[in-house]
Amino acid sequence: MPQQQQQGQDQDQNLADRIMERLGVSPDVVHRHLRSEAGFEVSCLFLTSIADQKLVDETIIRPILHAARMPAADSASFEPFSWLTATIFHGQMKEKDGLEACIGAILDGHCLIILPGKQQALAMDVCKREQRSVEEPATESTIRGPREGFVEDLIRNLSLVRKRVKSDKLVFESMVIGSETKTMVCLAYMRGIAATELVDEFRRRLQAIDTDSILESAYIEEWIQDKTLTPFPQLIATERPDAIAAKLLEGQVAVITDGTPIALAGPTTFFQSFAAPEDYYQRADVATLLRWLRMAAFLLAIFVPALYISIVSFHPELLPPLLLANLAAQREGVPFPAFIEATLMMVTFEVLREAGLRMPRIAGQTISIVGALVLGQAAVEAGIVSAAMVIVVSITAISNFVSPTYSFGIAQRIVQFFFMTLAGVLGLFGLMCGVFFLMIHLASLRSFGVRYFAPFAPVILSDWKDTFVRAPRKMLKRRPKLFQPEKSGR
Amino acid sequence: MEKALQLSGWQLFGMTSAFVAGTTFILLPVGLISSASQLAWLVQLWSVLFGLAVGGFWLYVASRYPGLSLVEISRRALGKHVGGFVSLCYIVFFIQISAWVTRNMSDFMQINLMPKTPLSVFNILALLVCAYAVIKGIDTISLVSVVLIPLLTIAYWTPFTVMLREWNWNHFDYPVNFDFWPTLAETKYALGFPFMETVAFMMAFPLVRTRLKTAFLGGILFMGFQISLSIFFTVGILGVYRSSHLTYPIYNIFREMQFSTFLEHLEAIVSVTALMLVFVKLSVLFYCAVSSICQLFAIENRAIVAYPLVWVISAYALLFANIVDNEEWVQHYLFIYYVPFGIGFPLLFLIASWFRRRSDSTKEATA
Amino acid sequence: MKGLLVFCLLLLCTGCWDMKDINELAMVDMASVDIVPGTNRLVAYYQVINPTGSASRQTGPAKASVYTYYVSEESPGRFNEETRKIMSRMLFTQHIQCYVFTERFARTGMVDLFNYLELNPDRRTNVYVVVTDAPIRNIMESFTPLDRVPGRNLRMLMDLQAKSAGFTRKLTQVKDIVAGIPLSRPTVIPMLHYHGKRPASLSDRVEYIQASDPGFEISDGAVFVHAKMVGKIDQSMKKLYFVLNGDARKGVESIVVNGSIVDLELRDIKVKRKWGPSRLRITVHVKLRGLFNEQKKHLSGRNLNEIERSFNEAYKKKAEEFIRFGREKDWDLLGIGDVKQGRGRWRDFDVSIEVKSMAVLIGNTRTPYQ
Repeated sequence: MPQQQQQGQDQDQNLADRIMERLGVSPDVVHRHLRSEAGFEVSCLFLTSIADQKLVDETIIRPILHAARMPAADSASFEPFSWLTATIFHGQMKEKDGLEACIGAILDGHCLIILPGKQQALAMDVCKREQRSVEEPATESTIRGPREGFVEDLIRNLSLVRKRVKSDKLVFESMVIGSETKTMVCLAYMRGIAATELVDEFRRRLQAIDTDSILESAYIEEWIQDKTLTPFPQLIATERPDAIAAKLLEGQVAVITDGTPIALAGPTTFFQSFAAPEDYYQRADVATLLRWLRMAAFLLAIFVPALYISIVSFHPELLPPLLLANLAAQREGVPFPAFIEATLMMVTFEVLREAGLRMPRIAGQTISIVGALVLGQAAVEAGIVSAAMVIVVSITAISNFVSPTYSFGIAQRIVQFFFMTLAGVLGLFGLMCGVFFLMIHLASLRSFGVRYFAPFAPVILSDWKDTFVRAPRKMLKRRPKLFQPEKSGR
Repeated sequence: MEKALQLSGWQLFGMTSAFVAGTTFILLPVGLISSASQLAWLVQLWSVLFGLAVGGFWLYVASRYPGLSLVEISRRALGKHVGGFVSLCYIVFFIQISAWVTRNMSDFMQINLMPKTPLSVFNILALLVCAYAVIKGIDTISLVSVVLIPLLTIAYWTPFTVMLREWNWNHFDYPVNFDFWPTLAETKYALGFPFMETVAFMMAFPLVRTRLKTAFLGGILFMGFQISLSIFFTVGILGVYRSSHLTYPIYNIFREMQFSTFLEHLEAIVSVTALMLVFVKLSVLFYCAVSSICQLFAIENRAIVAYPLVWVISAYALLFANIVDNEEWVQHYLFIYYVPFGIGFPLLFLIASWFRRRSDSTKEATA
Repeated sequence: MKGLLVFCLLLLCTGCWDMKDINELAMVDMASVDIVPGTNRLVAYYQVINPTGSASRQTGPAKASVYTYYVSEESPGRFNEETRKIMSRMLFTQHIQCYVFTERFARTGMVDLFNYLELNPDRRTNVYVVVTDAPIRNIMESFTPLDRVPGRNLRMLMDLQAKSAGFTRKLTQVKDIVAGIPLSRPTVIPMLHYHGKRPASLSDRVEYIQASDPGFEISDGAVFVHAKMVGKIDQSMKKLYFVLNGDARKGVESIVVNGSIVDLELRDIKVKRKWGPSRLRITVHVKLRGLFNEQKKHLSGRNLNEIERSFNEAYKKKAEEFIRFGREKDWDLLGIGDVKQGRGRWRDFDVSIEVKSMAVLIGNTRTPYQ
């Protein structure tokens, strides 16, 4: 009998020690031997860094230590697990079997109770819900609409979505991706609304991810997007739970990743990049006009610098004579050809933008002052650029920020430089080749099987009322056909 | 989620329209107007009718070989060797037309907009862009054409509308002796160009599942009618006398358009935009050449064929010394050259299919 | 993709053949052609805009808004080449506002010149054209007040005239002459007169308050048949020419009613032609508006009728005189020879005119102050 006990203690020692061995000498690993008043002995392991110390004290350690009644350890009817289950005041309790499962649990913020002589452990979730509070999304602010944004915690994020869609159709499928980071990723969709093939495709692509780490949803985006060699975003990234809810209700699928406030939704199309969540919180006519404004801004951004270059250096006949004389007078003494001038200014602007982004907030003021000087009066007066070019660059720069989707704005900038180069080399002909190339590119892109240029090409007329305009709610009785929802009526 | 490649009716319609418009609006009006004066638009309508008839004929031939493209039909109908040879002829034909289209485009650019830039630069750039389109496939090309057609129709008709104030009915009173048959004989190239080039679409027929006939014939009719109308407008605005002397009468309308006192000269933008149609046509022809080669020699990757072809076509496009050579060739030999491809070979396929059916039925009867 | 990248880089290395910076262009604003009498030698004048002198915000010290260069050659195709000897910038002719031809050159026939203009895509034929009877240097070397760029000045002047004559198109363009080559109807081009003996060639010109002498005037017309000037008509004939051919829809006329002068504005002029086998009836419908009334009496319906009737008669008389004038000169001013009824035999046509007018507006006073 003592021998047996010895062996049991060995085994007990073994499991706890083996865990200790694996977790190393990190200062946050806590390993306590608990001996109850009745002399019953267990090992308790948890990580102070992610476990809630108070919770462990209150719900696990105290009950065990103070267990009043203790059946004889050697009585035949003694079942240590059921005794512990009855003793510990904790709602979530799981049995973990084997070393790997135990390590997984402890790294997940569980507290392990290891019984002497067993290879199993009881795992209680005591994870510290340490998180920032729900705040207004910094990158997508709206005038009207909810002020809540996702946070870094997955469960909290799920609750933000669940709160908005109180439907039994809403499904969250969780999976763990990343061999080292073991990131929890959640696939969200509406059963019976999202097309089954679409959900399957999402699941297949998520499961096919083979990587050691997922630190942000961008990792996932890169793994699951259809085409890598394109500047255009094929998934929408947003930190607004209301946007995600709306997309789910349209039959799209969302991917919510633990550890980041940015959720992904797909499939998306080119024209969705012009739709802001706010469109639906405003009057339909206002929203429609705003959408047109955004489209116009996109066209301005990609065409204005290129057109300016090609007109000034290749086709001056397009300008009315007086304006041409004016421009010529301004450019008298500017040493660069228009293309170099434009590139110079655009690059300067990009540098300023990047600097403004990376700089500490307090220094932001400096950037704007210097920027105004560099991009404005001083450069013109020094005769390095013409005043007209400053106007062109400013229009373009402002237009770049109109798109509600940030990553789309970046794509826009890449296209812009591409067009500028073509225009600088071959004038309007080059620009036209660029436009044709871009159209072919856009038409060939797909996002999860959905044509990126839809509903324009292929034409899906019924979807136009929520693409080129935002029709009044009463007319939006059907879900977009684009995502081939299982159920089209709303 | 990948589905088999398939084109909708609208896509074929858009592509056919863009193809018919292609280089036609650049090249055709001057020849027609100088041959048929103010009745040029009627000649054009007549060739639209011809285009419809020929189109119907091809559709009938294709319906005899369901699900097969031109190259496959020719091999099925005429056997491996003869059929292979005919396919090869078609490949050369497609490459040739692509080269002409490229050349027409670059001539237009060089004469009107950028006189100092070498032709080959236009050729190579346009072909590279089209090669990209070809690699992306015919569905992409057709999607783009669906997008372009409405936009370009507006861009194309705006100058005409603006220039209506120069309209003069007297232009239709031009003294001319109009002899019906000689004029028709003289303008027979209008039948071939562009309406016999549309034989290229036999490569795309098997991809279209719905409304094939309506889309194809509708596309021919839609754009053929528009070209006829624009010839009518050209006569009304510029007059027979001037338009028969100019190289590009429609471009002149673009040039003389005064949109407002602020924007006086928009011709560069309008004509460059209209060139997009040429790009679609070029892409379709290029695609046909590339995919026939791929089908004939069983090559999987279109890129392997497309990029080398760029150089072949761009070199071939420089064959004509100048636009005068080109036009004279078009006026004298084009129709005859097109007949075997447009009518001869398809007729051969049709006859072969009849024989096959008869031999099948006799077999059945003997069995 | 890699190939594409290489190609793009190649383009960057070699591209830009057609690049022309706007500061390397000599923007021609007005061009004129003259001929050296007794020879075939043509003289072309180019008036080039000086950007710093004409921009709305002056940036340089230059005061002159334009500079005039001239070159002389046997054939027009070499003008361009010649300008490179004397101009520091590339000739840029897309923005020519107005062509001026001297009368002596116009009378030698200009088909060759127009062929040259149509052949070159960087010349335009929808540009205004005038014929001048003044020495060409007076025209080309004068500064103009108000609109300091002379070409623009002329153009605006003609725009104004076209507007006040109710034209739906431009007054006259080069292409009108071109389109008139095969026609039997002559083309009428406005004449440009110059007041003064010497050109106003110093930019100080614009400092003087006196603006009309020296200065330009556009009136009267030069008659072109087959792109060759064959004669002149005066201003009122020119107006009638435009009215009866359906171009002009407005005008001003003076008539005498009961021995007093009445000035009328003509509005909504509609000309209808009715063809017989060898006769042409022209009906002119006009709406009238009073501009000035010398009759010192109350305007009654009867009086208005009188005005209408005397206008009808006076206008009819004028039109008949116009027709007679055309016959005398052997000009088919009504273009009868261009329709199929009258082809080749316009002289045999019996033309009758009928004028129907209606007074619609009389102005602010019904009874003038006595």
